[in-house]
Amino acid sequence: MLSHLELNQGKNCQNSFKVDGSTWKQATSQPVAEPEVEANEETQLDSGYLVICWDDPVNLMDYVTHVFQKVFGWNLAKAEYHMLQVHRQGKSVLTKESFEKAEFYVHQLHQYRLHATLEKAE
Amino acid sequence: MRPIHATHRGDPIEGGKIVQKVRLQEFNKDYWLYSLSELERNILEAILDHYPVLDPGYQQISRYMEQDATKEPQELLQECMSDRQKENRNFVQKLLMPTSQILSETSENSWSLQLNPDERESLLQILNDIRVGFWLELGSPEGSSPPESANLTPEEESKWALFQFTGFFQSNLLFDPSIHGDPDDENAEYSDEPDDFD
Repeated sequence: MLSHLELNQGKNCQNSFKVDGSTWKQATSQPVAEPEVEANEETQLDSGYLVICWDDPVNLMDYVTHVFQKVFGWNLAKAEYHMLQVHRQGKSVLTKESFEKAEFYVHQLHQYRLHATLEKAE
Repeated sequence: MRPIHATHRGDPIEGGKIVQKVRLQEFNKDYWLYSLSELERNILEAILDHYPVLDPGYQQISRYMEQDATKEPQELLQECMSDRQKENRNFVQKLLMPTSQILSETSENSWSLQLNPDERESLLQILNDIRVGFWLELGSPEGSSPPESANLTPEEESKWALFQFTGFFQSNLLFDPSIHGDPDDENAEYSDEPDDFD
């Protein structure tokens, strides 16, 4: 379910995304899989919390992909999609959850020393 | 983020000669078995002796939420990171014990590293803590080598080498034939050229 993220595909697979009213343009001509940022029923009732992973120049790309797969149980394609979004756009919204669940995911990501935060969705 | 540099999956070099590389021997749902040379085992020990490098309070729970709202979650995060570091430190001690069942000598100049899936994750976390910590202590360099102008002290040179080797071990631990294919497959697409850094 795409709750707060819209995907628009333009010429040459130049994608742009709308996340909470902000538009991000993807700086690549590579086709990418459609993102799936899910929200459960509970968080549809309130604004919820976003788990965001931020880019840094040190973590290895394969490592970040592996961590996403482990923490969220994602398949390789989805994990790579979000890894590349972090790498190219500086951040990726990984999920939208209740505070407790978002906090849990941030703790998991921090155990792997990824730069992740939780932010209140607007 | 950094692409995995080709040399990370290559072999550590001793006196210009390539020595045996960390190799995945077997893996299944219960364990991952790697073989290491004596040199690699010693480098791994030298790396793990530094754990932990990062402070448990190194990371922030939120960037934009108000400080009042994050005070308690931030304290909880720090507590969780401290607990995790204790568990990981215990694992490092267990791994490096002379009688370790995890890292054991199989023959002269040959060691085996057998990890269950949880231990593999712990070792990845430990190595990344050390790698990120060294990177910060080295001044957060952008490229894959120190700037030519950098006048490194012997301690910094040692840290730089361990930083690179930590990446080597991480890459080898992450190698999964079910995703990356068989490393012995001659038709597999592996490049000897280093990837560009963004």
